[in-house]
This record gives sequence, structure tokens and C-alpha cells, in this order.
Amino acid sequence: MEPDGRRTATRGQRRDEDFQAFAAARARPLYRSACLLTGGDTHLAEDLVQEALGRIYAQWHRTAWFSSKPRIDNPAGYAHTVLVRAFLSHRGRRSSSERPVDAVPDAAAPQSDPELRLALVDALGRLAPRDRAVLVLRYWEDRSVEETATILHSTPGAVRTQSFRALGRIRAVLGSSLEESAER
Amino acid sequence: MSAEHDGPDERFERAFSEALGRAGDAFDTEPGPLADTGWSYGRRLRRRRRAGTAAGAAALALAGVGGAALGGLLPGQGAAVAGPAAASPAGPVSGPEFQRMLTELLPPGTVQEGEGRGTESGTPQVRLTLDDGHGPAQYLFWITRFGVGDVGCPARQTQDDACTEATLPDGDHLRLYQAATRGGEPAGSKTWSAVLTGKGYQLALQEWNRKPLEQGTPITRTDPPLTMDQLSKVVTDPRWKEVAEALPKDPVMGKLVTSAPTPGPGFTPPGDTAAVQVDPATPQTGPVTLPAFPAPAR
Repeated sequence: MEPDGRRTATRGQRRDEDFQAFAAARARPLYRSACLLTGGDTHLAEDLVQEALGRIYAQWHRTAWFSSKPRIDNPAGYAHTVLVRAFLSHRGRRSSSERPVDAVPDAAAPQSDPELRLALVDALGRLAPRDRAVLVLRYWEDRSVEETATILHSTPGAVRTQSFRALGRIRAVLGSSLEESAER
Repeated sequence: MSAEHDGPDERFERAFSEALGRAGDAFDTEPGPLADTGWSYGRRLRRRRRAGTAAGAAALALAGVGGAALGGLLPGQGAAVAGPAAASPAGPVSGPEFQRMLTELLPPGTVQEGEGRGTESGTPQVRLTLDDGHGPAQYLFWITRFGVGDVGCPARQTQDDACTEATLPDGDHLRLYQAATRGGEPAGSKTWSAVLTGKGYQLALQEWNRKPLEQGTPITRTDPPLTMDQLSKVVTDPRWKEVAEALPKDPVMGKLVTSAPTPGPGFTPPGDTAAVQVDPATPQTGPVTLPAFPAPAR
């Protein structure tokens, strides 16, 4: 019995070490995605990262070759998928204290890069959560339309429509500033 | 397709993508505590699943993922943390207690906002905004059993930041960091921090001359309230060693408990601390940042 117990402990320790290394490496990229998804709500972003990492840990055995369940080939990518789904699930449960999603206030055009960044994050935060998720997946994580649709349990057509609509809203507020910034 | 052949839609998409990249990169955090808390949460999830008592996704998500945002999400927020903590050699410390222990060491004043989670979370943490009469300032304080490694001063140097480090007589390592304004922060922003790495634990206190979680608001005072000497005194107070010993070996995750505004307790001005050499430096990852502040503009 003892050798078996020892082997189990070793495997568990190795799994935990693997996961800790993974979590330490992925926490910051996940956090950045989460900050964009939440429209700059850094507290909620932390919660989402912790939730995503926790869920990944619970399935960490599926990253091993001998896993009896469908294997997670790309834990980093999968973690971002879990993060986005956690965000949408969170938002679905959140019925109050939501910012108006369609109303983007008039504001002076941002002049500097920091101002533009804040304005962009703010504008993101005013989009509907699913529209925001589409933009983050497509333009921050550089996912294809098809991947984005899979992550969101949606269709490529719906993703294209949401992406077009959300970009239009951002463009209406920040279009010229963003293009001028890109030319600088 | 080359840029000159792009239509207006493609040009905007590219500009948006680039701007989004810059906006995302501007958010920064210390990954260690996030990773640790995620791990703690994951272990709890696994235990639940193995016990066949896994709750639904909603319950899991809200059961204890620590963070201030929950304060705005949960009705009746302010209740004690759920779940039993493993036995510890020292007694457990609740969130409000942990907050009280910190505010005792801070300048007297009015606590405008405060929230804390205790040892049951594995990473006790306090966030509070305290006005000592010279303008409100935010503090962030945490202790973790799983250190993020020795935190030293970064190799790259800049004239705006200041970093010092020292090994204390008991072998603990102390790093003090004064970070100047980062891109995206209001003019004059300062973030000062002290990180103490002890045997088997690490703690950090960070202070701002503003309320950093309220984006776009200007600074509220010229400097953060505590000098480097005072920061050193707070983080080397012996009480934190006891809290570290009370950290459960197998923690559940806690949520921050928000307190009502209360007057801050008295403050014992710290005395001299050993002088340490000051080297201006640009951090590779910024000073200790939990929850976050924007990194230098790239």
C-alpha cells in the first residue's frame, strides 16, 4: 500500500507544481483580458481570473496524456475561454448596478495616448457584455470568427454581426482619435 | 493586404486593434497572489466534485472568489466567509479583524471605505481609503503563505522611481519602492510600497496619493501618507508573523467584507529605520500591484 500511496502523492505534487507554474505564467495575460472584458473593473477582473484558474485546476488532470477525458491540448487558450465564459456567466447573473450598455456619452476627443486608452476602456465598458467579449476575443486575443463563435456558443454569422455592430459603436465615439493615434 | 490598400473599415479595425493592445497592456498586476488564490479555489472545487457535492456554477463562482467587486454584486454582502478553515497553530483572523489590525498602524483619520478578508481565504487582504486630514489615500495590504519569490529591486534604472532593499537582522528581506506616475494615471500619481519576504510568507503594503480604483480621478494629495520609514514599520510589525502562522494549510477562499466608514485608530509614529541605498529604477513588472495599476506606457 505504501508504495502506491507514495506514487500518488508524487503525482499529485507534480500536478500541483505544473499548475502553479502555469498559473503564475498565465495570471497576468488573463488579468489583462479580464480588465478589458470588464471595462476596467479591476476588482471584478481579479475575481474572474481567480475563478478561471480555479476551474482550470479542477480539470488539470485533463492536460495529461493519460487523461481518460477529452484532453485539453492548449491550457493557456482554454484558460482564456473559461475566463470569457465566466465573465458572461457573471454578467448574466448581474441584474443591477450595470452601466448603461448602449449609451456612450459625448466627450471631448482624447488628445493623449493615456487619455485614449482610458476612453477606449470606458467605451468598451458601455457595450453589451457579449459585444465586448466578441471584440476582446477578435481584436485582443486575435481569435478567428470561428473560434470566437465556439467560445461563445454562437455562430460565425452572429459573431460577425456583433463584431460589426460593436465596432460601429466604438467608431462613432472614438473613430477619428483611434485612427489619428494609429498614424502617429 | 498592405496598409495603403486598406479601405476605411480595415484601417479602423487595425487602429482599434492596436489601441486595444495598448489599453490591455496598460493593466498590470502581481500574478503570485492571483495564482495562489485561483489554486486555492481550484482545490476546493476538486474536493467538492470528489465528494459529489459540487454546487452549480453560480454558487461556485460566488462562494468565495475574493475581491471587492463582489461587494457590488451580492445582496447582503458583508456576511462572514463560508466554509471551514483547516486548523491552524494560531487563531484565525477574520476580515474585519485583519482590517482593524492594519488601521491601528496607520495614521489616525477617517476610513471612508474599507474591506478585508481573513486568514480563511489563504491570502488575507485589506483595501481601504483613509483620510488623515490631508486628503484621502488608498491602501492595499495582503499576506500570503505562498510567496511570489524574493522581490528585489529591478536592474533597469530610471530617474523617476526609487527602490531600496535590505536584509533585516532576522533574515527577512524588505523592499521599498517609490513608483512615479505611469502612463494612464493622473498627473502626479505616486505609488509607494513595501514588500516583506519572511520565512514561508510574504506581505505587502501599497499606498497611493489618490484612489486608484476610481479611474480618471485626479490625485487627492501630493504624496501617499506613509513615508518609507513608516511603511517599513508597518510591514515589520510582529503582529503579521502571527497572522501568517494562522494561515490555514488548506485554505478556502474568502470574500472581502466591507465595513462602514469608521474613524481610524491612533497611530504610533515609527522611529528611524536603517538607511538603505536608493537606486532609481524602472521595474520590470512594476512595484507590487495587487489589484492593479497601469504599467509604464510602451
